[in-house]
Amino acid sequence: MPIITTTKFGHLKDKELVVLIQQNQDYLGEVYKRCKSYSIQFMRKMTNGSMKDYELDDVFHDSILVLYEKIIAGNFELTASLQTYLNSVCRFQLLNKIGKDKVNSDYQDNSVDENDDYPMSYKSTITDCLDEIEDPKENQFTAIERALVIMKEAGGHCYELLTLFWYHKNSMVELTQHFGYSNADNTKVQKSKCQKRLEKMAFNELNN
Amino acid sequence: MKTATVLVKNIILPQLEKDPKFDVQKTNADFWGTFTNDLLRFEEDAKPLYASIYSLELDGAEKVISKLSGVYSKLLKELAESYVLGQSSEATEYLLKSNNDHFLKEVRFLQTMEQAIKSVERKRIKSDLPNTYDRLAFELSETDITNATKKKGREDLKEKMKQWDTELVEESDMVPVFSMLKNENKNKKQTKVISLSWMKYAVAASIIIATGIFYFKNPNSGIIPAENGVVTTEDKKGTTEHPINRPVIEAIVLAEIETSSRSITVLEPSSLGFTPSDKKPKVTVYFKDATQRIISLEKLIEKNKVSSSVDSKILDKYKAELADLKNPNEKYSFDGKTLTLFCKYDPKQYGIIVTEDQRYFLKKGSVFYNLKISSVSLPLEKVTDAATIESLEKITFENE
Repeated sequence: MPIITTTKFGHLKDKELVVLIQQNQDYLGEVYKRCKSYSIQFMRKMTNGSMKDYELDDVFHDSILVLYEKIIAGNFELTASLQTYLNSVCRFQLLNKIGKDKVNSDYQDNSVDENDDYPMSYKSTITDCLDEIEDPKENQFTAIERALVIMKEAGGHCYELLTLFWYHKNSMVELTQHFGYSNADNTKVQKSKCQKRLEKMAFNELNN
Repeated sequence: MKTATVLVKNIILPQLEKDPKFDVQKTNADFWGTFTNDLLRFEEDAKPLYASIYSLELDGAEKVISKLSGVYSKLLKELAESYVLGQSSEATEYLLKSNNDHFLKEVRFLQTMEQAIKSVERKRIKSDLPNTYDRLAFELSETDITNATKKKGREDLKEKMKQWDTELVEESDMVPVFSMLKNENKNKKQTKVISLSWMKYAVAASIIIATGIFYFKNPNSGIIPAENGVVTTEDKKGTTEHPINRPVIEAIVLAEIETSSRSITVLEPSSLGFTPSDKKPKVTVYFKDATQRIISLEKLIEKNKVSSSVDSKILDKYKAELADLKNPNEKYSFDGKTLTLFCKYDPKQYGIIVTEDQRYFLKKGSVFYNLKISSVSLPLEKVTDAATIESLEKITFENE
């Protein structure tokens, strides 16, 4: 029954992967490749096939984002295998999405809690989930979102600088090294200029 | 208020230090504590803050006071950012409790911006997830690199051979009067190049006619070729024929230096304020491409080694011109409005930057050069000063 997926970085232990993801987001690809099949199977079983594959894919993608955001927040400690962690996050997100009543009752009995070696296991104590974006329909939010997309498409450093700071939580020192600026103060000035530029662009979007 | 005090010091100290009478001894920890408290209440009552500035007995106290509103605004921005990033402090607590509009507005903007960035980045990561592994696992093997290089090398060589074939055909079709100009622009994209190719033929034709008439009317005089047209004749040994009967063997028309121009917007520092794109200063760049001229001069000099048909004085002049054109030190001339570069037409590679102190620089790829206003041609000098390079990179970055 186990799905054997061989990956190039299959030799890396879960905890090593967590450290690598902090340095290079592309290592999420290894987690994705390693864990997707079992997590999707796990969710299929949990929902008794009531959800379509693309919906389960979306839940799994969100779980990867949960893992990533936990890692970059800086205080993440992996208490189970990555597979178990992701299954647990998928499970918790599904419970929030479809409600406890619609969950397959057999699944409750069949799932082997706390057994970390089993790729279909989960931990009910893990209740991490993707936090909702606040006020996504607010005018200012939409204007900034649109301005960001324009900024990204226009090229240049601003989009990368702002996302690395605000989302990927890079420090000023890391940004200084990344962009090759002379010092952190200079990076701070660049960031503030990019923010001003975004503010102007969002203002234009709001008034168009 | 420790966090806020550090921020205040960072913002205002550089301003104070510019004053010749500023004495750091007068600013102890108590001074900064009081100053920070007063600055946080700047909108309610600015007088205590003014008193603090006057107590420093500065030469330009008024100048510092005039900048206080900017300092206050900067402080609130810094505090708002640290608050949004989850670093609460005594100062942020005070600003929240006192419902400081300015601060709350900053916080709201940054929070919304953070959420918007999160939303856009999440979407990007999610759509990119299936490709992430491939990107991570992608690597080129030595064999792949070797094969690709070999393939590219062979293709390049084939191209060269085709070009040689064309040149061979051209040479075999040679007629007594020929032009060394190649109509290379035929297949090129239409640019603003001013074509003078008809001039060359006209000059060639007129030189031949003029030479003929000259010989006819004045058979004993020597022939001095025109500037861009060299007519060579070959004497037949032992002939006593009248010069009019001598055949014109070949006339070599030297190629002109091709001139193309492009108007380039000057990049300015953002501190100069926003200028609509149509009102931004522009400089017309003239690209003078001497490639064809060099080739034709080389061919002429080479041919002359065999036939020695060109007057030695003129030949020396051409040799000097060739040496000058082949000089590896690129030259330019700049008058503030027009820039002349002696290089191939490639406007995408070039940019012109002006600094706040009205110094002009040329950007070629990632290298910067000084531009001095001068009526004579000057060699291009690279900017080597790290601080200048950094500020130029900043201006380029701001204008991206």
